[in-house]
Amino acid sequence: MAIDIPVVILAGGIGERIKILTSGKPKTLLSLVGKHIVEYVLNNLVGIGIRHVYMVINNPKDFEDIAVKYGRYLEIELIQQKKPDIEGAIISAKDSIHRDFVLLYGDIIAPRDMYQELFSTYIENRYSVVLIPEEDVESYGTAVLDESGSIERFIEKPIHGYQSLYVVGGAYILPKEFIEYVESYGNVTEALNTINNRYRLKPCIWSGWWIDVEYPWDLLRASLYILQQIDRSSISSNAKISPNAVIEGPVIIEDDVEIDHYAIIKGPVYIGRKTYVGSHSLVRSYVSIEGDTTIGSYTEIVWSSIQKNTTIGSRSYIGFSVIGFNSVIEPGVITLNIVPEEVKIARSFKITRRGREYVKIGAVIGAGTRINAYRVLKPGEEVSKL
Amino acid sequence: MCCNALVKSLCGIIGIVCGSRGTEVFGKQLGLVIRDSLLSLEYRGYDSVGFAIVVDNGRIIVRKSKGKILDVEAKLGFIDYDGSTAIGHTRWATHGEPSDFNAHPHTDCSNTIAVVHNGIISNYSELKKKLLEKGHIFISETDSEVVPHLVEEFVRNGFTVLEAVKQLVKILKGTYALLVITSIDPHKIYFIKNVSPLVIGVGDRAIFIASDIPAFLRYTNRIIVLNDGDFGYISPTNIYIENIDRGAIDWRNRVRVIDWTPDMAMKEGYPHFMLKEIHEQPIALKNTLFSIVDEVEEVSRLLINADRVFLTGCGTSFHAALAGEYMLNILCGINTTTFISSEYIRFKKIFREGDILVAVSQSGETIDTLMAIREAKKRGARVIAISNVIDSAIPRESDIAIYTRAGPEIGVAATKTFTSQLLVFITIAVKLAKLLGSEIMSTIESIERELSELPSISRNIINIYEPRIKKFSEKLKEHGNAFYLGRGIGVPISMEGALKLKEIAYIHAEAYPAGESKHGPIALIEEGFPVFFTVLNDEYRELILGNIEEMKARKALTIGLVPKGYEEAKKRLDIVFELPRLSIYTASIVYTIPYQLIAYYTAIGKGLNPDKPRNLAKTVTVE
Repeated sequence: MAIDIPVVILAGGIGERIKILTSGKPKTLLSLVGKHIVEYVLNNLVGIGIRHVYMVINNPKDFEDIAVKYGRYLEIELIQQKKPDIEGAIISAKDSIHRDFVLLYGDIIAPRDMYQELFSTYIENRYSVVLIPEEDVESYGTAVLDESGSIERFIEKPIHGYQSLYVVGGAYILPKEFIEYVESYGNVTEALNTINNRYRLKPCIWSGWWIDVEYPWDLLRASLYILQQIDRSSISSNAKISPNAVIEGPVIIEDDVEIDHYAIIKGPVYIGRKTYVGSHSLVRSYVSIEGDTTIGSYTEIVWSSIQKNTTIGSRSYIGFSVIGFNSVIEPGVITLNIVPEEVKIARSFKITRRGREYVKIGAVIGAGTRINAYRVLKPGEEVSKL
Repeated sequence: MCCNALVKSLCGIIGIVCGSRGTEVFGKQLGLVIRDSLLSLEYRGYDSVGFAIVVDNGRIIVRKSKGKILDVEAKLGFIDYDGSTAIGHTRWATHGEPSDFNAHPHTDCSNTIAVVHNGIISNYSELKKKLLEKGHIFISETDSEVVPHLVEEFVRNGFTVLEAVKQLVKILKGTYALLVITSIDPHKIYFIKNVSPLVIGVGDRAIFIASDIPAFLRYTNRIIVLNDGDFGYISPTNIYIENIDRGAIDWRNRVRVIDWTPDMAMKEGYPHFMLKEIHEQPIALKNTLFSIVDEVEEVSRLLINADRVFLTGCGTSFHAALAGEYMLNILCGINTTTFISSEYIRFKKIFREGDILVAVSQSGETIDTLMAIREAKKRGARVIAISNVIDSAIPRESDIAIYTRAGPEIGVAATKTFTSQLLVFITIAVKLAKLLGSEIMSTIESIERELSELPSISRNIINIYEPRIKKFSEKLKEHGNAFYLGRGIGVPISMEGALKLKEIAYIHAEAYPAGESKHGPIALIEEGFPVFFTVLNDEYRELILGNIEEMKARKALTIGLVPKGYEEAKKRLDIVFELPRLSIYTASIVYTIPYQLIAYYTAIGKGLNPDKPRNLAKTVTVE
């Protein structure tokens, strides 16, 4: 089924809160289980039958490969972002959009059904917005519903303790004049309120998983959901797996990976191209190693996101951590990850093990950073070369 | 008989005739129109599906398979078939394997007659025996297959199809709604209705006939509800209805316009009907409140003169009836007896003239409840129906009906219809209390005030708790068991909460009056066992503290729905959902909503489809 409505994807943002990982590149190009973040949106659009996609970006060169890769299924046009911020990105699409359109944030990761739900309202001829029931609304744009279940208004930054808000899910169907309102108000929330007053935006309450990649930790949350969906293992015939390595549970092992003697891989785990896992190392649940990475021997990695082209030395322990691309972890580095009870960290993880609840979070290591041998990193510590 | 295991079914059927091909009338192939209609009927059952369509040269093509519609869509190829006459079927087997052979439609020996059937033909084995003797060949083990062969036999003996259909009304025993298409008369769909529901939809360019209104609601809202013994045909230009007892009927007098808009029967941008229907409750409650005034007036007058009052229902409707009993007891001082419909037989010697039976059924077609009211009526009792479906069987057979008017409910798990049933009971209880003077006026007035605020209170509850419950359910989904405890009217509310968790999240949940713990169930408690407490702002509120303590002492995970600011309860609970301080009557509705959301999000967390719980059907029309 083809759906004839243009889609605008905002993919250019650097992401203030995640910039130690991006090193100036758009955050939608961070890797997650073998794909760039923005590819999750594109994949879902292909599945739904969308044809025309406009991607608003900073530097066309960054996205050329993606445009070629998806060009077989989608007509992708790259639009250079002219002014900063989300408002600037939306205004940049003004000359391309002459009718109703779909607006998607490129840093949102959600299953296809969420987009399907949104598009079903287009078939009913309604303008609409995806809303997410999230408990912690403080860092998001939000909407209030009225008695009839319609949207009363949008609130940009909710006051602490304000209850009964839904998080705006970064996916909309809107009339083209929305862009003009953004231009004249210079503010998305106000433009949404104006459109809502005129057309009554239909709320699409999405009850499934949904990740807005804003903090480094969101990558871990996202890889959890994506790795959980792996229902069978796939190991490239080009991968070299030692006969006495142990591979358990669902894993994806890509081309030219080498798993050395006595290494243990305990799924769900993703190991990207040209990665080497040294002898006696343990790579366990919810680890995504994006590729071109070397892991020394006797190293343990759990629930972490390892971006491309990194080296993790021998006898290290990496847990609940995110490691940026081109970084080097020298041997013997330990990431502590059990947060002491009195400390609060935004978007940390509650894990229940054997009846006890722990709040866990590891380290964030910026792109191109070197961590000296035998260093011990504290829970929530961020290290970057800057 | 042993090799012919009777495959009983609970089904949805649809027939469409239009003047020209589907692509010209609907802008898409008739096969796709049939598919969409079947999707709207899927709540009636979903283990096999099929359709028959008359193609250009009058040939009938039958496509059928076991499986859910969307799963077998490609296999059946709805999109490949266009025409102007088609019938379709979605089926739910109560016993006997769903299979391709047993799927409908069924055909005669020469493939010139195709039939879809909802119901049970009880004398099918003798009919089948006679047909086999005459050389007819059967390929399925269903009762339904006798119908095309009977039509074939009559036509062979010189009857017209209409005459043949009329003969069927006389010889078929059991419950049935039947649609018949033939190569002889390719522009007509013949129908017969006895007990099983059948509705005609009168469109401008097409005529529809289906088990239920949502099947064609997107195309027309002008409907004709058929009665038992009705038969006839629909064609693009004409509708012919005859009743076996009363002769030909002018259908124009029976057309009614229903007020559901087409998109009301669709999901409207929600991922599931269940979530949509939970969110619709504020509106549904408002509709119920405004539309039942006259009916409640009349019902209250009946009740006040009753010798004895009985309440009955099945599943969720039983919980509403039980809550109704508490209300009539507490607010009106009226003694009542509430029973589960399928247990009606024990009242055979008890029902008598002067009794009133209040029968609660969302669909109005629940067979056990229907049987119970028939028994009561036979013994001289009068019957009040509370239903959501206008002109359904139970309201039709009752002396008076109150319609909840909550709009169509497609999700198999009842949500908005339960809370609107509760609202009907509250309204009745308040009316009776006024008539009887059983409660002081200020209390009654404060309940009425709460009722008028109910839509906005319930909206707030959804908005505030949906995110929290979504998160909490991530925890609950890891458990295999749960208890739901309450006291007073908190008991039926707890029972409903437990039922919701069972039926869509597949977690074993048990509800009982909290005081019962020490008489047995507490033996099951171990560390982390989830126990929900329905704590209302009533005279039980101190008593239930002890029950929380005893669970906590055994390290249960205690979760409470408590009145706002009730610190004594809060400090004893692991997880607290604070709700407004309300009378127990309105609280029964408000407290139900978090329980619905808990079940919904737990199902989602487990990756289940809450709209399609395994082994369940929306309307249970078999005993």
